[in-house]
Amino acid sequence: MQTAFRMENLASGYEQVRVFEGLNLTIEEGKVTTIIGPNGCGKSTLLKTIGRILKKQQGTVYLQEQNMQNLSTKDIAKKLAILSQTPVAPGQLKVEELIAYGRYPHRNNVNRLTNKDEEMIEWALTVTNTIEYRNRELAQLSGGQRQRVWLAMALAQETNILLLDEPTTYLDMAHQLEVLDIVKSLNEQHACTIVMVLHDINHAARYSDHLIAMRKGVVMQTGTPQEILCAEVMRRVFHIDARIMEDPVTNTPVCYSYDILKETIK
Amino acid sequence: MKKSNRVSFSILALSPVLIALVALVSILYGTKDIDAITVWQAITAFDASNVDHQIIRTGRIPRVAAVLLVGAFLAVAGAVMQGITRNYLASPSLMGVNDGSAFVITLAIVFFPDLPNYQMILLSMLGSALGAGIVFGFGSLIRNGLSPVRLAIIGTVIGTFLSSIATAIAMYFQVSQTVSAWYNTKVHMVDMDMLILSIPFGLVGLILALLSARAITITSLGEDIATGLGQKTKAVRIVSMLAVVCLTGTAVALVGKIAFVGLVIPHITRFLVGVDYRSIIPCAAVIGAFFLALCDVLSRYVNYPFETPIGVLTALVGVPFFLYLVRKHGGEKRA
Amino acid sequence: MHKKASNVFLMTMLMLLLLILGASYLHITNGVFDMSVTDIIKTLLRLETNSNFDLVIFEFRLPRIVIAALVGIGLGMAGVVLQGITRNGLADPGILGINAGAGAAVVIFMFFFQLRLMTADMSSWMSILMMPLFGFIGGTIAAILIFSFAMKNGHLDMQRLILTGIAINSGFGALSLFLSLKMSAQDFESAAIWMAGSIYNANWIFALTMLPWLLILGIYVYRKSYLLDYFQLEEDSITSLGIAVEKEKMKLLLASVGLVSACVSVSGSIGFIGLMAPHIAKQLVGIQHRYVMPVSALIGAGLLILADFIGKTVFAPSELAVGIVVSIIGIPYFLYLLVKSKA
Repeated sequence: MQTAFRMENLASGYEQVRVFEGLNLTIEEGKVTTIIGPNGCGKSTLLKTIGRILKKQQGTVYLQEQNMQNLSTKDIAKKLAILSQTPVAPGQLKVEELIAYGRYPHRNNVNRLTNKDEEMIEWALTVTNTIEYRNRELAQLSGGQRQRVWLAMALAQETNILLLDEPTTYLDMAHQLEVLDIVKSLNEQHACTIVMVLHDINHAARYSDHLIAMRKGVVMQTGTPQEILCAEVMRRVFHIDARIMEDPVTNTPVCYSYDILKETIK
Repeated sequence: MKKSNRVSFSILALSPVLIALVALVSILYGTKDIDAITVWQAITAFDASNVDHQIIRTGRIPRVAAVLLVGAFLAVAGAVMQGITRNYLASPSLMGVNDGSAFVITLAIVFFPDLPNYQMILLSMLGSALGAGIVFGFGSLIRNGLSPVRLAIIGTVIGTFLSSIATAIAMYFQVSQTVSAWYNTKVHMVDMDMLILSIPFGLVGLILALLSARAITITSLGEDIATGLGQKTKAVRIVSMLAVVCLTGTAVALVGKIAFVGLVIPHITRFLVGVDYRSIIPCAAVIGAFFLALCDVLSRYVNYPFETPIGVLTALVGVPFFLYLVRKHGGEKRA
Repeated sequence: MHKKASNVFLMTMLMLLLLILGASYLHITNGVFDMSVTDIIKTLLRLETNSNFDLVIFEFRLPRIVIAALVGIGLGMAGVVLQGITRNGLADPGILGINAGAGAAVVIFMFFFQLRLMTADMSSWMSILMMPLFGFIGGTIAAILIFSFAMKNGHLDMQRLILTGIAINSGFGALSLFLSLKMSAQDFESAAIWMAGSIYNANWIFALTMLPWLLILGIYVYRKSYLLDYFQLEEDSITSLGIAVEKEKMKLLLASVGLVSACVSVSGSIGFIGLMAPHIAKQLVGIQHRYVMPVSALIGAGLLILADFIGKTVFAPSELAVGIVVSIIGIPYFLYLLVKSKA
């Protein structure tokens, strides 16, 4: 099994604040891996660091067994796309134009889109189901539509690896699943490796092959959804008393209710 | 509280000595060498035919008096503005108050060239009010416009605008020479009558400032708290703005625009004596007077034997200080 | 869709060129010495040679128009770049203090190399060619100061940026004033006129001085203009696309400082053109920078020729420095933008 990411003794954070250090972790290729954990546990920091949006402070990240430090940022952009949590673009920008931005790492001639570029943009529009408003301006879209357009831009980057930082935030329930379904189909039909951060542990369990549970900058446990979504791990990671059952339709574990722990754990 | 009281007491107690010292230096040393005995004679036994006596009497003494007054006026005006607007960047030069004065004075020179001095001062005050009115009025039009940073930006830009218009008008009527004399500080050619006239006007401003000191302290805690404590916030605002207008208007009419004194001195004072404006206002007055007199003395030696505009010196101190403030506070609201 | 945008772009460019021609026409026919159109055409086409007309047109008015146009182009382009990389519609080389930095450096240059040598004779060519270089050094120092003060946690804080600009402006302004006072009376006069932002002592040498800067940096910036499209996204997204954000921004910043410095060394500090031109350009042709950039350049040129025309005719026979005319027009526009922008 090839690895998408391998981290050795990784440390990262902001300015003087160290969010995590001494992290060793592998993320497999061709799988959907989701990082979960309470607020401030470092899950977004980890995602940003392996997506080189945030400079690591120590250690090494190998992207498909190549030291990321030796790759140019443009080369990395051909291998992985990362969609940040709150992307911003001018409201007058047309959907299609934004998606075309995703072609940047592949473009040499800056003024003309090649046939290949056009093809990839069409594909991204189709996969994300945004084709009908390709000529609309971003400002005219709803939150769910906009999120899919951003996803399309990342797809237009034509990478095997996709990093998503809480792609469902601010979306209502139906739109959340819409985005996650697209992600799932990308993984299944195009062998895309997905690494994402999700807040909702039920979504994480339902859509992922692997979960990484973090707390306070430490990876508490990794494993399949069944291994992670159990009372014992939930207690240690989220400090909750979780009541878990299996969803008979999806056959994935679901936390249907929980209480805050009475006793404190070390 | 105890400690800061002691500090402010010692500042006020020490200030006569320091101010006398800097005034003495200022009178003794200048482009022309005049010995101490002649200086003494000029004061005690004035001889109108003696050139040196003339220099001392009509040149150096009015000059140091003007600089001391203006330093005190601007520092107090700045302190009052910072307290009442709870804006750490508030000051006559950044908020268009200075520029308003200079603008109206330009108009007066162009259209009514022979106005008596007291009307000049009144017009200058009117200009201060106008400048402040435009800037704060504009600030309240804009969302978030009264935040320290936005207000400083608006103030500077409107200041530039007013001075551009003034330059254009002066050019059109071919009085740019006279006008630039008002716009650039002219501490070396203080008009004696103007000096004497400016004392009562300035005093009114100082008294108003001192009278509202307690109320300003409360306002600086926040409008809601002040109202909650039963303060008439509107009245306090009007009285203190009146003080600012009196002080700045008089200062500009006397020597022209000087930047940064009104910004820097109140901060230094607050650092020394704490947050009570009953201490801040008198201390700012004496520190401002001392500071500007010192700058004035230095301005004669930076480029000896030529004088450097005093504004260059205040900028030398003010700019790094301003940068430091911006770096430290950024956009936060705080006085 | 692309067709349509490029058509709009071409039409706009055409209209602007006509506008510039119109402004130049006004500028060249009016002045202390009024001339008829036929006189000018005859002189330009060498159909009739009148030494008076030659002098007025070739030595005074034409170089002045050309310099106004060049400075306008430079400031218009620099404004687009600065607004693009700071993602702030209120960025302008004058407001940010780059003008003041370049200006102070040029005053230092004048102070040491004596302005009065700078007449049209050949021996002083070298020193004139050096002026933009000095300006560039000063502008760069100002830019570095501004950006290092405005950096907060590795990101540019917009409010600090403008505030630092205000401080840098007064600091370098005081420095220039101090130095210019140490100059001889004659030099001081020239320096003072120059600092107010004026082009009325324009001559061909000044035009030639700035031309190489404008050409090289202008082309460079235009070729990079597509990057400014990406810079409209937030930093994380740009990095994700594989753009070396900091490096590219630095290069663009230096290029725009170079453009501004070349302009400042010839015309003194002229603010607000770099603010207005990009905004008007975006109103006209949208947000694609390969269209915005040239349109903004032409708008800058047109605005400056018009402003100079106003400056020289409204108060004739006395001349109003073009910088002051631009401020009087530009500041209300700035305030309007401030009101319009959402907090």
